[in-house]
Amino acid sequence: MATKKKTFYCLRCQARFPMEHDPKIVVERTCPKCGSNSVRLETPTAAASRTEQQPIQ
Amino acid sequence: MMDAGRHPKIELLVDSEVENVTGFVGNYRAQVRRRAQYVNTDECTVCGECEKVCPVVVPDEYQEGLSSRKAIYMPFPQAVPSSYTLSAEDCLGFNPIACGKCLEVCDKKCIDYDVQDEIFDLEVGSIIVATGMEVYDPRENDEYGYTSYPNVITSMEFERLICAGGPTEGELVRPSDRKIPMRIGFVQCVGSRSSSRGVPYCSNFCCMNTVKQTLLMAEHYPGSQSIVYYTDIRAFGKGFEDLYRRSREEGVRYLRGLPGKVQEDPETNDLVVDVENTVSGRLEKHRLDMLVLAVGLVPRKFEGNGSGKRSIDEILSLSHTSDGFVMEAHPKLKPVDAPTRGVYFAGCVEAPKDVKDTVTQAGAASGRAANLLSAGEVKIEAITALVNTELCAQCKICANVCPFNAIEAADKKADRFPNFIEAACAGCGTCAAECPFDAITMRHFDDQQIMAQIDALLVDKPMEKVVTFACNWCSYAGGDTAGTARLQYPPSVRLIRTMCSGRVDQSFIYHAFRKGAPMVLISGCHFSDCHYINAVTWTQKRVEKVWTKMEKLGIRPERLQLDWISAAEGQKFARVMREVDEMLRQVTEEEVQETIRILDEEEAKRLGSAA
Repeated sequence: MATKKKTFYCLRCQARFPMEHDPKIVVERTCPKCGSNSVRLETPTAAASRTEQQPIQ
Repeated sequence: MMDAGRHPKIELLVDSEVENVTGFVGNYRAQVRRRAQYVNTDECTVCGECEKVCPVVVPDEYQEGLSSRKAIYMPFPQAVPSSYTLSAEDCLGFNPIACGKCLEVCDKKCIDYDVQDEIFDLEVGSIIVATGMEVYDPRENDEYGYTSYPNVITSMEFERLICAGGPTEGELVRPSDRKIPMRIGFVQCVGSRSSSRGVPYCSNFCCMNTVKQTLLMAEHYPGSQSIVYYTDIRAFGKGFEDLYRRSREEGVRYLRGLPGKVQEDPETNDLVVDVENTVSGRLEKHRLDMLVLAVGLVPRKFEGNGSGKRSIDEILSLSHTSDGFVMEAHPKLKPVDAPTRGVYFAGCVEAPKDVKDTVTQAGAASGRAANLLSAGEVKIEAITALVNTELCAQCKICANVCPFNAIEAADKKADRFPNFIEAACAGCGTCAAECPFDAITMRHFDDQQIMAQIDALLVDKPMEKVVTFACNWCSYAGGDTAGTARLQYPPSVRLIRTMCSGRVDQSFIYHAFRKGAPMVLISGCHFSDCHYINAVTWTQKRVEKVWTKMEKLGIRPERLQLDWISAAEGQKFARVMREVDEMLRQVTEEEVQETIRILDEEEAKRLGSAA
């Protein structure tokens, strides 16, 4: 599967940002804002469950 | 090379490829494909008659394409074995035989078009990977007009031109008009030390190679003018500074600054170079006969020939650093060892290096291999995995996740349980964490021991604790680095050491939350530093699963944090701990109690369904 840009969000600073994503390849992800590795793909469920959403950077 | 070819205890398998490796340290079985040579190397007397009649002419790779060779040829004069070889790709055709002229003229009858590739097994105790590197291709970015101007050449091409065994027998000539270039410019760091073009690292050997080439120019062509464009000269080895000084004394000019523009005078094919001298701050224009690009080294692309074959790094489970070279078991203490026991590295497969360093590393690797073989037995750390066959459901997950191929998969039909090869097990614990039936125990890091640590640290004031799992090699050592550097981090952080973050079972995380932990942090090595090849990738996958489950259960995923901290990143360790401590303060007592209630219910359901 080709790599696609998806929206990720940081579980530390709540920043949202686009990043290359290929479900078959596991890569180290880092939040561009705070440098945390607690970065998660934003799924519709994940987005809905979050109270505050920051704009994509 | 000739010595190696003649040595009674060295068997050279030329033009051969390792297609598979099974087994473990001291007991490897390698499947080797020896490609068909079509020429009997024992019988060939190198008379050269075949080469004379061969009608196919192709560029000679050994001479960097500066001269040509035939389809049947000697790769280079010192080739071992000293024999002709036939390139099947270049030959006019075997089936049906389209030419056959070489066969007709060979008196010894040592050419055979019907030879097939030979596949055989070798039993070996250890393996040394010395697959080398590749040279940066300046065509990719059309560096300094390399694809447009014939007199812009690479340092490799210069080396062939000035070599006595080269296409011009050591006579340096310009490719455009075969005149001797008397004004030569050398551009350093082509394809190296750039985040945007080529590779970001220093290729190590280029500076001294250029210094040597300027000395050769001064020696072969007195009166020639050489100018070296550089960002900084790295002459750090033994005797290198002397060589650099000699080069300057010979009149070679070293100008700090890389050319901004290179143009060709169409009438003379001379090159006009615009460069900023960063020492004087002035723009200079130089007219040169030839420009030599000191191209850097890039990691060899391991490819499985596009035919579904596995490449050597896949076969041996080699991991790579971020720059693409293979990663050693430990940069200081095991610089020639692969993470897989019994596998060693030599040369540029591990990092760019010059001949001296390559020979040193090759000596070290062969010494390590000889130590292993002469010992007769292998001593390993007692931290290995054990399977409980009563709990095992023969699902094969453990064999799939093991980075070291240390587990022979179970077979439900044959009622065979997974076989743990203890000599190959490195003790990362990924299999134990991934086993859905809790059938695998890690010696010294078993579930009960880790659960007991979680219980102990949460027994008193759990609301003030961050349960932190730290891997032995990187993040735990990062904590040490923070401590020795006297960097302060909050006392709320309580570390539980595991050999690898891959050992952190989902049940440990849920157990910590059930025991009242407001925050859990999992920390491990950066992907490129993982001491267990790719075990850390399983950590990330697992944490992502836990985040999803926490979300479904109504627990904030933010309460589980993940960070990769290397042993040198003491500052990052302290910063992460401060940030997580800050997050700890946002977790309320009610939230923790609600989490405990949810997880207790989940646990009750799980036990109910299991019963």
